[in-house]
Amino acid sequence: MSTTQPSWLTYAWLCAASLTVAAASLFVGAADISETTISGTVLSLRLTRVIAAGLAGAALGVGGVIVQGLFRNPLGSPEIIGTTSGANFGGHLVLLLFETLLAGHVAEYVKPTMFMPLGCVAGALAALLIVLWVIERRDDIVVVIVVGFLLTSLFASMDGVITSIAQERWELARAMLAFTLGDVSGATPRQILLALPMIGFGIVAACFWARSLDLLLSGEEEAATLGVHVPTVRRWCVVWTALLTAGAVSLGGNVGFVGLVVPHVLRRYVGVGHRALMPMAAIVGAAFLMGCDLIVRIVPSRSELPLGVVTGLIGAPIFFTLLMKLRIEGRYA
Amino acid sequence: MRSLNVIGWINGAAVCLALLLAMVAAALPSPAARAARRADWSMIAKSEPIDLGDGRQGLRDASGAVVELRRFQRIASGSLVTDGILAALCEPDRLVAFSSHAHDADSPYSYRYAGKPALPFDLSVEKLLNLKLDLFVFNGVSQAAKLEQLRRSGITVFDLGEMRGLSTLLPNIRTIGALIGEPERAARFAESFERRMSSVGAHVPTQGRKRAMYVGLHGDKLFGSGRGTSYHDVLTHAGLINAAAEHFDGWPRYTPEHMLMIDPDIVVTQSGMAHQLCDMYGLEKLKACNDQGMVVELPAAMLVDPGLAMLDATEALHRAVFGTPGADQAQGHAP
Repeated sequence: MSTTQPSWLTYAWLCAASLTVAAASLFVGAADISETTISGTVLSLRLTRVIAAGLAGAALGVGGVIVQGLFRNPLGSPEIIGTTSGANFGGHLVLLLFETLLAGHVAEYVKPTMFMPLGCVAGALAALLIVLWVIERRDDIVVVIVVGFLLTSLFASMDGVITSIAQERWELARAMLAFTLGDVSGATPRQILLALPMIGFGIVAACFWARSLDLLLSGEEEAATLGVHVPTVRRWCVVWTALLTAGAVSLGGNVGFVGLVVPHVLRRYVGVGHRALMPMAAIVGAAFLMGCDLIVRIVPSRSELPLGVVTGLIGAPIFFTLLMKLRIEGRYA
Repeated sequence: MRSLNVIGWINGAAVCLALLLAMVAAALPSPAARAARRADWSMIAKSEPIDLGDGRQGLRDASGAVVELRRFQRIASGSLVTDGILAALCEPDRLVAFSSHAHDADSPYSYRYAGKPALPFDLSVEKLLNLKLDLFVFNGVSQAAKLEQLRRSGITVFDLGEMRGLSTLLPNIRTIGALIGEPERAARFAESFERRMSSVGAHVPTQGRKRAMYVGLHGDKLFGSGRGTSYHDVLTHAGLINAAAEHFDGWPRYTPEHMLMIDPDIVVTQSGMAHQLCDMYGLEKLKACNDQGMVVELPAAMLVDPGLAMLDATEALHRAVFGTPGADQAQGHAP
């Protein structure tokens, strides 16, 4: 597949499409914004969730590009290094602790809406430290994948313990489930401020590592002969993916398929070059998740559909269609 | 190539056979399922005894199974609702254990269950067998598999069905009364309970009642209650209108936007959540969080209980809103 550097016009078109989705999102929701008493507050709530969805989508899109480039595996997604399940576990654990053991003691210092995001960041960083510890000792890409898989299973099991304890408190268990299924409806500016540095720096850093990832496409040995210090690239790509994931999960909970689908869709149009893929993945990932969040509000249901469910319902058929097209094109090429 | 085709056919046939046998096994009726005829299934147990012949009588539970009435001596309760009803109606020496909620440290009702063990939350069959029960009563919502497992283990189980506030609580009281051999006492208790609930907010004129809603906050997730819930009954019997019922049934999850859309005069929440709720982004604009309204905190154990604690919750809420002296349980805040 060739590498095409998209023109400024393409970027402008994509940005315009994203802004259109964002603007449309401001006018769709349960409340009536023509009612002047609440319109300002409702619009600010919607703007906050649009920004949260955009940031989370951008983070997951770029995270997906990094992981697929690093592992040279098109089935890679940010979840592969175990930080997503770490973030999920951290969020659940902190919520349980604050609601039971620490109830009332820390509410004066930490807003309850920040419990889960802070837990997510802590959980993701804990997972990252384990991955880095392993990389320091066995610098092998297969080992990183296996450790990521093990961490995912480990954190999922520990998360199961937390969820089973929370079952005794019905609403707490429902809050954990809602977080697991993904949701940006309760996003606050403070949550965005928490996630913004991780996601902002993550995207810039990803663009910085794009050239190295391009060279890695031809294999680690070839890349090394071309001057790439592979262990350094691997280490920092894992670190930035972890931070991007932590930021995304702290904003939107467990939202799947964005990191898998967005890079795949883009590769068809801009090729495999990471320098073109990174910014495009950020824009398209943001637009995709903002669009899904818009659908969440449009689909008639008793409350709102979980965001992660909608990304899965849309992402899986897109991914399947892409795979089938690739096969058909391969057959007739 | 031909042998490969044969192997393929053999494997295909084996897969089909395995699936067929699995389906047949799943469709085989168990003794418990035979007892529970599908036509008799309902969301709530019946309190009218049915004739089993030879002078024996039985009660049909929510799963459709019939439990023969006799003098049960070792009874355990497996849910919040049955805990309270059994403690109120049954002699203490016949009660062996209560649900895991009974000994909740935050509950003002845990003294009622002192000295009795708490059942595990997962209703472990082995632990229940250890208690040598002759009757296990619970509200087995969505626990069909557990119900069948308990019955297969020889435990007499009575499933009262859903817990949806007064509409299920009053029949539950009568049914438990019939089960433990005290139908008259149960009928009087149910009538008295209903009368007391109705009297709490009866003096509040129907016109101009304040709009209220229940909200629980966990992290950044908001939960509430519409029609057909105990929260709805508590609000309406306290002399208020459940504003969420205009839009929702059951137990919805809200977004902050939903809250602003409903914008009630009064928000009812669990102890410790009022400040957090009004501090949440966007919700500071709610009427309830300003001088125009109020946020009422009630103890969680009282508020989330769809059983007898509903009366305490209703009275406490009424006191907090209408200012009757002696509001010791509830605290009203006008941030």
